[in-house]
Amino acid sequence: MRVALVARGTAPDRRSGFDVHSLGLARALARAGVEVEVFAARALAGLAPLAQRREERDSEGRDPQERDPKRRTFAVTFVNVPDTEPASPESERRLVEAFGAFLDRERPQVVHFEHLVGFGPGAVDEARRRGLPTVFVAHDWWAAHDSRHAVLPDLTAFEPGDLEREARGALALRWLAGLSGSERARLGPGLGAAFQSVLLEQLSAATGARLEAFLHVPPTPTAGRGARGARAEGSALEQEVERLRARQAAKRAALGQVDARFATSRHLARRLSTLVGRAFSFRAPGVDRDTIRAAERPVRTLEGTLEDTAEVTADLGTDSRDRQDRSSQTKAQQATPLRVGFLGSITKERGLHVLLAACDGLAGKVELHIHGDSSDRAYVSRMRHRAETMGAIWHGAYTQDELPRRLAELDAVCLPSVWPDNAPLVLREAYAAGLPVVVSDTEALRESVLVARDGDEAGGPDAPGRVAQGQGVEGAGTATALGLLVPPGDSGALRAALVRLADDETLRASLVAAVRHLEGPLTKRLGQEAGEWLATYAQLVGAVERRRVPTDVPAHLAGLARQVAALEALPTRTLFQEVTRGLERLGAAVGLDASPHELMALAVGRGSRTRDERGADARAIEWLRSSVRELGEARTNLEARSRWREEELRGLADRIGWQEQRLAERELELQTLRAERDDHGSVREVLEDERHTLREEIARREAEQLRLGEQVEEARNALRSLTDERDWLRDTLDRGNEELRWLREHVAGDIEDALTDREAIEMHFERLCREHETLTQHEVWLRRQVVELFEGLGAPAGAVQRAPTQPTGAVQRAPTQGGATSPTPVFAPRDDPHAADDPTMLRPFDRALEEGRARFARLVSELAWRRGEMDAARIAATNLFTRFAGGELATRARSWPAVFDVEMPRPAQFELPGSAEENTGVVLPAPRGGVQGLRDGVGAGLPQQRAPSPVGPREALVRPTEERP
Amino acid sequence: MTRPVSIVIPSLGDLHQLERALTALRAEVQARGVEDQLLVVDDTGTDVLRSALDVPWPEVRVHARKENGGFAAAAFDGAQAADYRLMLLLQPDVVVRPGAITALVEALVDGSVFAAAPRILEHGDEDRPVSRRVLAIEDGRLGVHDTRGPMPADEGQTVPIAFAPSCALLVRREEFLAAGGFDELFAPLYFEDVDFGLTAWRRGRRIVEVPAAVVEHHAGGTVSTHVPDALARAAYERNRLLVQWKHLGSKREAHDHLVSLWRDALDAGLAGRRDELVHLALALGELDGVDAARASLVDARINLGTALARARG
Repeated sequence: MRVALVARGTAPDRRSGFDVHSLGLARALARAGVEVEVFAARALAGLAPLAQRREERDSEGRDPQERDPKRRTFAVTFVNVPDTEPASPESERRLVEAFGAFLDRERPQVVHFEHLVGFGPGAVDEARRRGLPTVFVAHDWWAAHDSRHAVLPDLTAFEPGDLEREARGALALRWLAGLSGSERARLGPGLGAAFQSVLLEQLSAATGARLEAFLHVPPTPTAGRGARGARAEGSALEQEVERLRARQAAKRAALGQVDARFATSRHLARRLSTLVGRAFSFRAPGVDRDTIRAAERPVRTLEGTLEDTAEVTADLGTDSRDRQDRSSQTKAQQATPLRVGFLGSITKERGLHVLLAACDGLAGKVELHIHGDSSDRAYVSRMRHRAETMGAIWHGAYTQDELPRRLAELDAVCLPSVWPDNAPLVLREAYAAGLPVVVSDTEALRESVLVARDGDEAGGPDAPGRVAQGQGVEGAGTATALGLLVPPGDSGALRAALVRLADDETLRASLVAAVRHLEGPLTKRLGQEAGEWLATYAQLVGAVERRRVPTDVPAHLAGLARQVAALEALPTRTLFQEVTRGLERLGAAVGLDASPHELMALAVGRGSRTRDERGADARAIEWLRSSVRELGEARTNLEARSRWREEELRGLADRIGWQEQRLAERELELQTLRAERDDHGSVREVLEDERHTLREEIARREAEQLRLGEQVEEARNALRSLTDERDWLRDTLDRGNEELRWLREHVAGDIEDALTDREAIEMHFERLCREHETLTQHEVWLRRQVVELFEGLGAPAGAVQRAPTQPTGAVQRAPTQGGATSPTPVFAPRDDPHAADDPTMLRPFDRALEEGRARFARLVSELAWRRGEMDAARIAATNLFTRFAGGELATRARSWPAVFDVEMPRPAQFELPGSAEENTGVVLPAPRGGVQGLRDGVGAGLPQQRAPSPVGPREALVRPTEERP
Repeated sequence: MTRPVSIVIPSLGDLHQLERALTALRAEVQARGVEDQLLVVDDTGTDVLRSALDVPWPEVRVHARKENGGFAAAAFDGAQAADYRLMLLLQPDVVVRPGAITALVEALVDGSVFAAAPRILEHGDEDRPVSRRVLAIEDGRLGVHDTRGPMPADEGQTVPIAFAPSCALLVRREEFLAAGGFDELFAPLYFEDVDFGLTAWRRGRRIVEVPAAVVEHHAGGTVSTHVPDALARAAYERNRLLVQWKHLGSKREAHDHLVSLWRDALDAGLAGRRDELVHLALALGELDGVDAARASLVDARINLGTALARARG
């Protein structure tokens, strides 16, 4: 079984309990027959970065010069990683590459990761890629956090799983690392990769307060850090949280690929199972109990000298401790101070400063012994100074060989961790030495201090420890205490616990008894642990080995395939050994006399690919150096130019200052101009608005002008039309006037005449009517006379009765145009039947009367006709002149009354018999051409009467040209 | 007048490949008209070919091995099962062109010729004659080098070559059997034909190529199908060393060779080139076999260097 054991480091560089345990386990595995190849990082002077060197150790861990060739060996391969190199993804990647080369070279069958600090999850991938089964052991919180101690830079522990708190810590660390000046000096030199925390006393009050505020107060705007600052801080925090989350995810994925995961305490196993999401099993680490217990415990006397006791056996009953206890109950021993030891790495999270604070002033009651060292030189120096000042005994670094002796000189071991400590090796070493402990009360440590009593079911068979029934002081519940628990970081409580332990002899004795009777995982030896691991390896390797040999090849190739697989499983050095042995045999087989060394010498001289590649590398390096030199020269030149530029810049800066001053002045001017511009702008806006308005107005007026122009044009056209019309009308009017004159001459005069005639006629008519009345009355008288005559003469009665006594004719008013009526006497022809009977008597009267009637009817007809003509003339005149000529004539024409009876028949030809000759008072001159001639005469000069135009006055001005004469 | 030939074809069961070869062979056999024997050696160990070839290839006789034994074992079994005095050993990824067998048979009329190889064209490429690979020792290491480019036109009926590639070679069956077939030292594959040829040359016989007998070798049909690359590479490098160790003649040759081996071993060890160390270790693990193989050459008349020189003509 060949195992690669990945550790964090080994002595002398690293002497932490974890590192000691890794080496101890390697040794134990080697004793168990396992080929162990330890891989660890270390600073190797004089070697290239990531160079690897392998050292063989015997199973006692001695270096090659001292190793006993009879003992089985294990080897440690160191990869050169300077202490000062900060961890980064790039450094992890390179380290993982180196680890891959190690795996290729050593060909382990299983990889046991005691830790992955510095490697990162990539190391697991390297192993998996090669088909190697893997196991991982968690000793701290690395699986869940990059800050594996789960403390903030101010040594405040945060709850595992709280990525935000961790992110704050990471940001704070960067900030601290970036401090300069006096603050930086206070932190001390050589921080390197060990820099994970500070003591607040190392910082100034302001810096410390700022650190505390950042670590424990959410980012909100404060004085001096506005909203923007708070947001920037929050953004940086978010980014850091995301980065940590990504890291955690990568770890989770890698650990998910590990075949078996373990943790060194039940608490850690439980928590990591939850945080990582993968099952972790508890496996207690072992310790070299036998070596520790074998150390002789010096007997203390009142005088303070030490005497060797009898030889120690492993049997508890004859243990030197028991003998000392039985003989030590003297007042002298009761008066000696309690020897309390602090052992292991002197790092801040292990809380030595808390212990020192607790022990300050306890001289005489507590004697503090400090064993250990670390790479945190500033802290070590600070603690040493403080320790020596207060009278503590500073022993410094120790080897594992020296440990038993140092433990034997103590009464108790103190572990004042300020981080959530897990399963410190020193705890088990103290128990192995029979010493009670005073430790910080963390959940993991509690399970190593409060253990179940034998027979109790509490804790079960996997409980960290148990004490035989009846032994030990009662602890919490059914647990037995192997020591005292104090709150982490509480120097006061620690002080009280130490005082109690120093003063209470009974307590001390019971704790010691409980420790000495401890059984179970807390007492596990390294050999036992190695056995457990061997079983785990065997289980994992068996399945993998079967997969190594290809099974999908023809049977006749299987043998070759197995041979190849077997050779590929060998470490390179072993393979090389096989080859060199084979070459020796070959030389012998072919009968060569030259020895292998001679052949090797010749081989080296012949040249090789490695030498060729080195030559090529050397040329490349030389080229690079040359390039670097050239770059250096170029840089020198650039620096010279830069200095010149700086001078130029200084000059330019002066000019710039002057320009800036001018610029400032120009700015003022500019501001003034801008103000003016703004004003102008306002005015401009107003003007533009006005312009716009004016433009609109202009446009509107132009439109209006256009429209008016059109209207004017139309009016002009209309005017022209009107003018033309006027001219035409004037012509027409002239013609009309002519006609009118003619009419006047003929019609008007006739009309006047007619009117005169009318009046005369009316007078005549009236006169005729009177005459008729008179005549009628005379007729009546006559008829009476006649009657009387007849009566006198003896005439028939009928003839006398038939004589009208009343006029037969009634004056009727004939309707005229316009409805007016005028008295128009209408003499109906007398229908006198007797007219024919006695025509002789009345015939001359009737004849006269008839003639009078007929003549009157003719006059009336003539009058009606004249009236009609007058109406027509009036109408024509009205139509002609009403609109245009207006004037008196039109007025007159309009006023002409339609008095004549239009129903009266109009003679076709006006030829009124006797009308021109008879003087009845009415002279009715005959019109020239007769009535029709009158009509024609009127009509000839007159336009055709039209029906009233339905259009408006304006349109009436426009006449179709064809209507014009 | 030609003579009948037993055509022995070891097969790992790739039927498509086999039928392609058999198609060409059937035509050639029919053309020759002398009832050549077609004998397929089923090296699958499961006798799968018999039923597959029975109906479509009634003229093919199948000899099934009880277990998979590799090319050399299958060839030996086929030689034992063959009927005729002349045996044409063919791998199933070879396709004969018309007239190839007759030309080969003519070459073996010369009793000094131990084996005759046709002009083997890689994938039918005239510029890649596999049969003209050259053996040379450079920097103390034996190597096989391809010959590229068109062959000269006036090469004659036969051309001496260092070895007849095992993918296609004509040999007298009794001589083949008497020699024990291919040396088992080189099982499972590679360089058994090189050793076969060098052994013949060192025993005073000749290996020739017959340019008029042309076949096509469609490589990749056997090894790449059944053998992982890394394993094939390991077998090749191992056997390249074994063949040289078997035939190391003079002390000077041995000295030069050992010096180069030590250098390569040191180089590989320092540089971490594990593959080279594995190959060396594989070969060195067969030293017992090398001893036995060297002992079998007690009747060799010339050493390796002379053999190579003669093979170059």
